Amino acid sequence: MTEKKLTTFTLALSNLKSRANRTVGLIVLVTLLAAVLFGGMMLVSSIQHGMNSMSGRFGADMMVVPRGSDASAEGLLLRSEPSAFYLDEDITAEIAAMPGVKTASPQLFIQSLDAACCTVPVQLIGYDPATDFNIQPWIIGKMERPLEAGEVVIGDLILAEPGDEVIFFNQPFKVVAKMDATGMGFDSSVFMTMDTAQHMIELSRESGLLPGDVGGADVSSVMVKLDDGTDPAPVRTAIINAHLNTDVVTSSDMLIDISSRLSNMTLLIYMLAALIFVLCIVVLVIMFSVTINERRSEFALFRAQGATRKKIIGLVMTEAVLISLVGAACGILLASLIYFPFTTYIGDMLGMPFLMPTTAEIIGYGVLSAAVSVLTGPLACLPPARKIGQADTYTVMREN
Amino acid sequence: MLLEIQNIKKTYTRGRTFDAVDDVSLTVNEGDFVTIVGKSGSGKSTLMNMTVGLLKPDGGKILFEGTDLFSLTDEEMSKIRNRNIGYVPQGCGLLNNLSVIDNVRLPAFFFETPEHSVKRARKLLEQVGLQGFAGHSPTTLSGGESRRVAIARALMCGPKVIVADEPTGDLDHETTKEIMELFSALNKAGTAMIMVTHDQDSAGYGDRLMIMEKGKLREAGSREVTKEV
Repeated sequence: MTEKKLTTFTLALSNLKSRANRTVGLIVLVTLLAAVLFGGMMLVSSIQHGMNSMSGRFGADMMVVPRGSDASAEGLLLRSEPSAFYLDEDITAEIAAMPGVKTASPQLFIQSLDAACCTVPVQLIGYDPATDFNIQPWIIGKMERPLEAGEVVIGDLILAEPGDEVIFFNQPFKVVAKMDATGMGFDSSVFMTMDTAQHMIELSRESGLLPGDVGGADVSSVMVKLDDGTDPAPVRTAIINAHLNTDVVTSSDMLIDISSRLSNMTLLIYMLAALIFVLCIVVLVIMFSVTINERRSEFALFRAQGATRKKIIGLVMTEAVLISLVGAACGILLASLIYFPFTTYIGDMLGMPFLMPTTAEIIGYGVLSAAVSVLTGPLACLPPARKIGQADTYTVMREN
Repeated sequence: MLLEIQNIKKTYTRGRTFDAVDDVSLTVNEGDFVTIVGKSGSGKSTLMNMTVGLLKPDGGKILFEGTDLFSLTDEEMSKIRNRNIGYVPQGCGLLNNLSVIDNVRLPAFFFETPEHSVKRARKLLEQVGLQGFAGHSPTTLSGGESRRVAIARALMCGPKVIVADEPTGDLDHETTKEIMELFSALNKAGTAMIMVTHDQDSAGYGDRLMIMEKGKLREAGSREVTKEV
């Protein structure tokens, strides 16, 4: 202790240690600010990434579902809420023949059970490899050949790996690929060809595991891709008029809805961050003013020993920077501990497409949050520090 | 001439306006031991603090080795204070979050000293009789020990003059004697002393006794010397 060099840093550190309660209080305040900033930026960015992923790779211009199932369809797509609803299979060919429709591809949704018959309770999605444009783009690069009977591709959040065997309705399926994260309900889904799905339904019905209303020739939805430049509104009207038992969900509807919710949430998060930033600055200014006032005789003594005003301001500012640095680091750590282990839960809770930003972006948000948080200490400390630097030393010493 | 005070003046307004220091002049040479006595509120401490450049006078000049202190920048004046003027304040002004030796080294932190500060601080602690206390906290020291640490700190940068404001104010007779003998030894070694005191025993150690009354400073007459001392 006695041999170490006396520096502004060691003096500041020693002073902070000697006023431990005050120091911890100030650190907690900056921690809160950094956590809100970092957590808020991560949240907004994750939703933005999910939206980008969804709009870039969703592929379908519209999705035809049974009347009254549009909310369930959105829930399935965005939040992987298990859903099961069915249309007559003939509808696919009829929609495909409509003017303006480029491709129509059926999908079949089956909920696996949370029971001994199934490895995990998830959404099983059957698709038609011949017409599909919605699922297969996600699999390209993950497997080089078409999916065969008895094989499945799993979403990013399913706890299995290629080569594993999974059981659904007492039937084994071989996992041949695992998708990258999509930020959508696909992450918690299992994909198989329509033939495999229908075969599974037949066998399950025989064993009494499936409800009786699922027909072997049913489909749950029809994904529709329009010709380039086609206005979706008249096509939508035509589909609903031709098939009164259907609803049409368009991707733009979903994106507009999500985008509006994201804007509201972003505004709320940034307003909260701004409020905490202002609160943090105000409380820190008060705290630093009180503390510096209490230490006026100490600073006066420093002046008497030959300290320049600059040196005293430097000492006080170093203390403020140290507090802010530790607070910023704690805040980012705290937000990370809350955020990273629970991203799936947070995404489900928000009901929006949710995809983690890239490592570089996460580092960028961390640096930005830290920079803003670290600035608060010196900013709040500067006015009282300048005041003590200008104070009449002798008066200060007499007052104390 | 080490220090020359020329007609300095300081006015305060506290309910009424009054001259705390009124047209005071004083010269201090190397090796002088000037003691200033006076009643509370007579302006002693105000004079002392202007003398070392801590308080700006409303009029007059203070020259340190011919340089007008108040014509200097903060950096220049701080350096003169750090290198040439050792200050022992009322009370001790020790920092409890630093060890005894770090308190002594403090002036060397403000302006780097050529000599290694730990080595010099140890030597000074030995000089004031506290060689075993380097790593102690100031909170464990007695009043007299604390005062000696404050003196060691004032000596850290090898000052030409020590300014002491009531250095024995709250000490018992024995401890007062120890402190004053220390000051006396430092003065004999060539350091000029300017000391403000209320204590009659302490005043006896100086070679020039000055009396401060209602902001005015004057040399004590021979009868006053006897009376004061």
